[in-house]
Amino acid sequence: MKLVRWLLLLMILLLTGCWNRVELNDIAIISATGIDWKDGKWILSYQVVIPRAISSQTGESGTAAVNVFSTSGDNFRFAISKASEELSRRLYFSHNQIVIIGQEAARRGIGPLMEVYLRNHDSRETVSVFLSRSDARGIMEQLIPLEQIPGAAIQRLIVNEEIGSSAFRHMAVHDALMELLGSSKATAIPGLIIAGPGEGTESVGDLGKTTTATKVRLKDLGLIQGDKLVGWVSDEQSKGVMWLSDHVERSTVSFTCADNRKGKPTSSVRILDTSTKLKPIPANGKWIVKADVEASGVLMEYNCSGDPSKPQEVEKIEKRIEEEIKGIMTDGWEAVRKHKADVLGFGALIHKRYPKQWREASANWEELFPQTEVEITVKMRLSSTGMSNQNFKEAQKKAES
Amino acid sequence: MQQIDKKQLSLLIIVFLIGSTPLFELGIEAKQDAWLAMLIAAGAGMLLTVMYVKLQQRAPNAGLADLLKYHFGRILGGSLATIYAIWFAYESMRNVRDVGELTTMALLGLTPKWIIMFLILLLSAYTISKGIEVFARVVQLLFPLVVLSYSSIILLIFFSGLVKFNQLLPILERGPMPVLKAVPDLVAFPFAQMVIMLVFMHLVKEKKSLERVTYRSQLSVSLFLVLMNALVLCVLGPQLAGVTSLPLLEVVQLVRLANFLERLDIIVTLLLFIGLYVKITTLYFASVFTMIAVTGLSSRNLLFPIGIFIYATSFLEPNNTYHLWIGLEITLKIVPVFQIAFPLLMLVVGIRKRYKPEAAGGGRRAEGVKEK
Repeated sequence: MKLVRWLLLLMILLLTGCWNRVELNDIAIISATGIDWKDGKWILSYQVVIPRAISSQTGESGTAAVNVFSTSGDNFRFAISKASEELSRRLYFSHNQIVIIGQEAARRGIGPLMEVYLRNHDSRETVSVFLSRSDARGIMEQLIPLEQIPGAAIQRLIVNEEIGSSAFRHMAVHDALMELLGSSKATAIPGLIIAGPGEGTESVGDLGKTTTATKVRLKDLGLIQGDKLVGWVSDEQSKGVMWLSDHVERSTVSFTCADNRKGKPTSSVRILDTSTKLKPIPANGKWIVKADVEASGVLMEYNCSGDPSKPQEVEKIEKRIEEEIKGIMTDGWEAVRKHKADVLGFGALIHKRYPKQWREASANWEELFPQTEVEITVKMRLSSTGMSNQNFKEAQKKAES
Repeated sequence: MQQIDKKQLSLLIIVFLIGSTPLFELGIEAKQDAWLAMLIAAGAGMLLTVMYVKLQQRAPNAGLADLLKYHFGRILGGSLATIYAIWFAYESMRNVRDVGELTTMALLGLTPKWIIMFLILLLSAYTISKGIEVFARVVQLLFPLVVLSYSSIILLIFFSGLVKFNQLLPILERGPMPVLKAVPDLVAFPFAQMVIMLVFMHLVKEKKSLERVTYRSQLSVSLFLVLMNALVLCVLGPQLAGVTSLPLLEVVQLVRLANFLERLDIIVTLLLFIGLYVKITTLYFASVFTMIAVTGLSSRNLLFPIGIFIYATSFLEPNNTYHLWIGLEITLKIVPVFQIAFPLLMLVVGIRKRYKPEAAGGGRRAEGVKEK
């Protein structure tokens, strides 16, 4: 019994975990990480949260909630380890929200980043990834209205965009990993820019005004082939990419009053539910991909003649929306095709459905992919035309007569 | 004589076979068909279990050591039993090392391995000193925790919309060969580890229901393992599942529900420790019991030497890479000798004439489980 008691005492001493203790006041919590490539070295930037500035009790409104600094090195982890030369606390990555990859770094290749994520357990794969047109550090220095921590704000921004208008999709590191390791080894990552003419919103004082001179916004979709950035497509084209790859959750589509997208798109519809089914078909060594879209939504704004309370008029409207969606998708497809990057996952589709043919096709998929024909059919169902029937101006005219 | 009831045996089989298996993506050499390879291996495992149960039924009161003695005679059987005991200790050591490696890799990077391994082995040794009945009850206690943890993980994975069934396509992309090639290793681990249960089966009170209980628990555990294998594939896809060393941990890290249900790693950690604790203890137990039957020494005299043997050998491999390489490339190729060859030989040669009355009547108790 004496032995057991001694053992118990020993276990109490040893099991309390002194080796891996993490004290809150010894760590610097990182909310965003940036990666740049400059003069043959990786530059890593960190957005460190300053707890004092965000505590609700003693929150000092005069100081920014984050501090940004950078270290450089020939590889990531070495650069990170150099942070101890200029920081009083240990960098703590478990709460990192986003990682921004600068354009130069992305052209150089994001392979090392993926490697670091896979090998280390403190870097989590739910982190959101972004590309940036300028250097990543510049974006991390920007303060964002409404939110205290810019890193968290940018993550909320992409989530909001994904469920609200779906021009971009939230890409977590694991999404990128899966696509880059998948059949076509290509992925698309949303880009960030600093929009506006000003110097930048970097001090808390700038947030005191009713408008900020600059702001961080989502812009353009970066196409990654292999592990390198090969090109950008515009916001509008990005929408087409999302429609084609079935990543649209909800969106707003504006359409014209005439058939075949003629005229100005003055009216708009809110897409509430949609799905895109892709079906590859082999055609003489090349491929045809059939894309069938089924969407439904409600009319939000209608500046055309015609009475949407009449069934045949609703059918006409539906047809115009269908043409519009088809147009968006075609534009998106043409843009992606030019860059020869299969970010739509056609390769994976063919791989799953025609494994034998894929073995031949995969060898020169980069050449075959742009030769693919995409056949789009859209079925739009307008479930509601809103709370009024005719357009306001039409109603006015009617009242006169 | 310490006894366990059929329910306890059933839970022991289930928790023992689950062990740490769902944490890894076994059979990933077969890419997206890993689950198919698992399924075939599970079938083969069932056949082996039928064989083990048949052997047990020849001598309902004999442990593995006695079975070997009845079939091969005192000297040959005794030496084979000793080899088995060493193998059990070796397997136990592998799991001890697993605890050390996984803990330092995924949880406590700075804590030295020797203390982690020492503590888990101490726990096992303590359990064994209390006897099989206590251990069976511990397993009974842990089982609901295991069920709850796995079911919550599975539910959360489904609710977060991470499961994409088309990741399993195309089925049999390169024909059946890659799948069949992956099967032998999968039979050796985890399914054929059932052979260890030959040490414990004779302790069950209800001899008549042994067959049904064993088959039923193995069937359910096999289905569960195949399901978990397929689930991990559906979430990560064959490529990513093949790259990461702890795929289930990776999967669980991806769960994000309603902005607060995330970082569920702790559940996986819990499962890891429960599974490996039960494995280590069962194997350690098997080694001790078998040695008792061979040497006639008491459990008290054997507990520490075997424990020290396990602890000492767990340091022999210089690093994680060696540990995995020896485990996957060498051990798995040798263990079928214990899992398939010897039992099959026993099945063929039959019980020797002079031991027949003893085996059938069960007049003599298995030496290993004398009253303490």
